[in-house]
Amino acid sequence: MAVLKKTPTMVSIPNHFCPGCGHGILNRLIAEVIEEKGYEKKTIMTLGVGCSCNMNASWNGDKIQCAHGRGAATATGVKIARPDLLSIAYQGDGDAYVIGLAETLNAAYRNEPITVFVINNNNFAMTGGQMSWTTMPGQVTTTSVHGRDPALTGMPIRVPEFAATFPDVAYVARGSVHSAKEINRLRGYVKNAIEAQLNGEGYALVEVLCQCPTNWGMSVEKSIKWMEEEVAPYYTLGELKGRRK
Amino acid sequence: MATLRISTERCKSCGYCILACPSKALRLSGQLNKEGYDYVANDESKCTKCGICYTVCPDNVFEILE
Ligand SMILES: Cc1ncc(C[n+]2csc(CCOP(=O)(O)OP(=O)(O)O)c2C)c(N)n1
Ligand code: SF4
Ligand code: SF4
Ligand code: SF4
Ligand SMILES: [Mg+2]
Repeated sequence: MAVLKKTPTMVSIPNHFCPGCGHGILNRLIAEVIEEKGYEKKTIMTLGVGCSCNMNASWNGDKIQCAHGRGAATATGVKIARPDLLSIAYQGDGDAYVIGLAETLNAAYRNEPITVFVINNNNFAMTGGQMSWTTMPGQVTTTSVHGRDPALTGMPIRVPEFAATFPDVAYVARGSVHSAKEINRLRGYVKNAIEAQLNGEGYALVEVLCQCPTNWGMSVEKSIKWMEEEVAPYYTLGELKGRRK
Repeated sequence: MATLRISTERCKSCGYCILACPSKALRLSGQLNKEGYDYVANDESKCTKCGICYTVCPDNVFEILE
């Protein structure tokens, strides 16, 4: 049975991500849900610093390029100034969980009525693939050339698990783009995270495991296999906090 | 009959759709687009218009139209 599919207008401009990059898939899912809700002209995206900066050229909607790590803080400001708009932060792991950890956690802690998407590709991709707090044990990066040693630098950070413990937050989930099945599941998480804001339920966070073939030095085939076998077992997929209604 | 539209100029030759297509209907065409990427082509006789290529493609190459 054929399923009709059309490219959403918010991703109609060709993107500048590398071949096979997971960012492009998440961009499309967010665009689909915004279009479904009729919010194309009523959404402001606050972009983190990282490969998300590419979206300044390709995201076909209103957006603000934030200072590094301050996506959630800027989205908080957007929502205070214009509560009628959908306020979405789009950030990388380095942006949201390293330099911006305080801003990310404080927005969640205060239960700001915003939606935050964090692209976890286990490295600082835009700057050439340095180790992030999300880098996997043994993972080779330009600043962990013999593989990340957890005895020296700790284990990868799991921010959504912590955010989900704050009593009031509306929705927290982690998805992945390593297969069509997971992408379809992730679409549901994206939809819940946006609906939670539109219904005034509170803060929503979705972390998304994304391949970065360029800095991982892997083909797409190897990347998605590594995600399935190594990354997803540590970064458990699913809803960490479901919506109340 | 639905048709699979392939915007070849957007393809970056990453191969994700080829890995994901359950009908093995996709392959690299051996032709280069304006950006210099060997773009994807499909075998109409194998394609069921299931939409999985649309789901995985990071570059919005595929659409399924009426
Ligand atoms: C204040 C400041 N410090 C450091 C940098 C360098 N810098 C740019 S992007 C980035 C990290 C990006 O990593 P991430 O947020 O994971 O995004 P990705 O590119 O991986 O998607 C860093 C450290 C900067 N631009 N500004
Ligand atoms: S460097 Fe990695 S995250 Fe950045 S666009 Fe390329 S593949 Fe994507
Ligand atoms: S629509 Fe389905 S069968 Fe046809 S090329 Fe795409 S993934 Fe393959
Ligand atoms: S997934 Fe998209 S960009 Fe990658 S090879 Fe297939 S059509 Fe081209
Ligand atoms: Mg990153």
